[in-house]
Amino acid sequence: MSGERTPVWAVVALPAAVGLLAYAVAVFDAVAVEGMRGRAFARPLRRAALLAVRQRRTTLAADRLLLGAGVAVLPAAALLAALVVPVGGVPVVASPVGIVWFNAAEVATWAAAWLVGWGPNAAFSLVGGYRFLAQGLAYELPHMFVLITVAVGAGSLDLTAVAAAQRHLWFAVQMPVAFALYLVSASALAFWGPFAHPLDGALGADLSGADRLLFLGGRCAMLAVAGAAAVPLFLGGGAGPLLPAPVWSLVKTLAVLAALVFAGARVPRLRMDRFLAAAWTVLIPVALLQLLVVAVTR
Amino acid sequence: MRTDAAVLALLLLLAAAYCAVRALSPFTEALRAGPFLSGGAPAEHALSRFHVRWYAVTMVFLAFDMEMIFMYPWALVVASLGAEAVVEMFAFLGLLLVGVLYAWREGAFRWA
Amino acid sequence: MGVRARLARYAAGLPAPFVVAVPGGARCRVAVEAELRRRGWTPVADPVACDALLVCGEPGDELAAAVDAVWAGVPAPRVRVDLPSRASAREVAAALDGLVPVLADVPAQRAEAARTAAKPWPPPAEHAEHDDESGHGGGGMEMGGPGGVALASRAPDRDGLKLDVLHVPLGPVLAWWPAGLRVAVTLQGDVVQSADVELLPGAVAETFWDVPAGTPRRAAARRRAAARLDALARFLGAAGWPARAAEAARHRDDLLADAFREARVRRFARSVRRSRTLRWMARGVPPSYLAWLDDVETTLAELHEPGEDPAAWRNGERGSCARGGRDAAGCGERGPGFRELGESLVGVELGTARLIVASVDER
Repeated sequence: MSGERTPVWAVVALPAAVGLLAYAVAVFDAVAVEGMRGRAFARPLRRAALLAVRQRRTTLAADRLLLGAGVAVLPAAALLAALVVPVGGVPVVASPVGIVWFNAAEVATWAAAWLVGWGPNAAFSLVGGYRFLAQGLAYELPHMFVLITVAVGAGSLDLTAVAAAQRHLWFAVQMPVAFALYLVSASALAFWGPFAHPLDGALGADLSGADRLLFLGGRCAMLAVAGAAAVPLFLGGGAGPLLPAPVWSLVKTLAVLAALVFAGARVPRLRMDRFLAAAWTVLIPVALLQLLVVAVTR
Repeated sequence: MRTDAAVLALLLLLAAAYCAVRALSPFTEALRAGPFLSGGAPAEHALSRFHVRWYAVTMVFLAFDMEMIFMYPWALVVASLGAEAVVEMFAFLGLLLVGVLYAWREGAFRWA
Repeated sequence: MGVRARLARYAAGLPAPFVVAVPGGARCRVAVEAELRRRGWTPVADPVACDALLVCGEPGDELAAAVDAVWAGVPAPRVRVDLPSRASAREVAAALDGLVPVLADVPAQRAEAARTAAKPWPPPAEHAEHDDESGHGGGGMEMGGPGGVALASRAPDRDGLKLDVLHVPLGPVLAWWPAGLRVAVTLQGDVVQSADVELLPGAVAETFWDVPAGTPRRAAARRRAAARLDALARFLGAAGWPARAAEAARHRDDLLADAFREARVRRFARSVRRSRTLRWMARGVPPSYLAWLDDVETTLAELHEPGEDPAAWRNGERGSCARGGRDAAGCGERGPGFRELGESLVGVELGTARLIVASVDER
């Protein structure tokens, strides 16, 4: 059991690591969308500084309790999901059902987004929150099926065991459809890029200052953690020649995040009213077919 | 590391970070504003019963979600139980897929 | 205070502007957008997140009231710049230079925040006229006093159910939105039940995109192509493709400054036309953007051939529509004008509504 070996400082290092990955996502986004290579590193810092400095905002008859809960749940969900993700072979909390924990933490995003939509008592926000629910429902099923596929392939729900089971061949190669579906559904659950349709409806538009920083930062962090989890799930964890395992994990995570952000910038926003039927009738059968293939070959 | 200790520590760290960020702002009092309505004033409160036209989708999702509960332990034992377990689970999934197909044909996935 | 002031100064180094388009102020807006791009200050998508509200043009009374309402909701630190409709590039640059010191001046911003806090946010003048079920309408959500605003009332929808109705202005101050347009929309859920279109005028009439009679052929063609690219930028922004929208705006500025590279503009037009995702997302929407892409390509072709009849481009004869290409199905079909906009918005979802509005063909 690696429980005793994980030192206490890891719990403090985890938010710092997640924060750094979220910053990396913001930098990639700045480069992909705005194309300014030189200033791309400073831009997220300056915007974060602006959010930190900014005055907060309350709207008329807002539901402050629910709004505060929503704003807090999003980064909390990202951090909790990161608890079970192994970086270089050892997660902060070694859980034999890490995949289930990870999915449960991700689903908390739904609550967060809806609460932030409901809280400010504003029409556009409300619409955005409900849009996110539809999107979350549509993508959660393929996401869960993909996680099950990985669990079947490795014979375990523990992320460390899943990473170890890819000694011979990465799951990204063995089950490429699952990998693609994971990337798509991870972006959709973090409402990023082509799946930022809820933001169109101004979800989070009535927030300002530290609340907004927590909400948008939590969203970046959610995407970052999903990308970091893709490494033990599909890319063999920290395995690789020459460099130590944590460095390889970091490199692979950054590669996945860069791929997500840059590919997402090349596509316009996918609106749920156009996409709902396709998401249900195409993505689920495809995920199930992949699951069938993997289950049969085991 | 014990799970509950780790979770508690993380949440406390998050709360501390939030307080620190709030302390960084020179503007201590929050602005009392109306909801952002692109230049208009609100005619009524937005907190109302929102007509969710895709509620049929949530029913289908619940069905799949209940089945997911069985798939997590199934994933662990399918390799040892062999083809029989695969066939049973996929028969169950097939039934649910028929439900999705029915919902699709009935227009449950049409947004408006 | 040292840390906070330094942080405020660091944050003020990259202002987050929001550009308010005013009818009659297109010249100013184009200059502002070009200057913002030159400095690398990317505009933000909603005014609450901005710290610099740039009003490009002189608004009329109603539009000014709307802008003031939005300005009241912008938190500190903030700065508002009202630019004249015919602002030159130099005036714009000077105005933008003055932004950063104002934003970084923490004591002045705190004073202003205190002044704003002293004026509480006013409740709206009209209370609910359609308050037929005031006792239990809207589900009875009591949030400690409604604050002078009614709860949502109910109205029948097309299935005969009585559902809560929200009256929402898709108002004049919105990103990727035609200048001065206000669409008062009644929503049930997120589907539009009815729409009232109103054009709020500016102080001066819009003449920037017009091509006066004596203009040389090449300049006229450039201006027409720039007008189309401007509309395309707005459409692509409303469709949620900020990278391409910025590209369209850049090509528009290059065309206006006569510093464009034709191959690049053509490549951009080709890639937007070829995007199947965009076409899929725009399926419920009149395909104006295809017609606009066509106009851009035709105009570009026209810049090269002396002696060609300029009227030919207006009918789209020289574009790919005339060649009977793959896109012939979407060609020639312009979007609704402002008058027909109201009917075309009924029964569509809010996101589609924004796209339909962005497809409005004003000519």
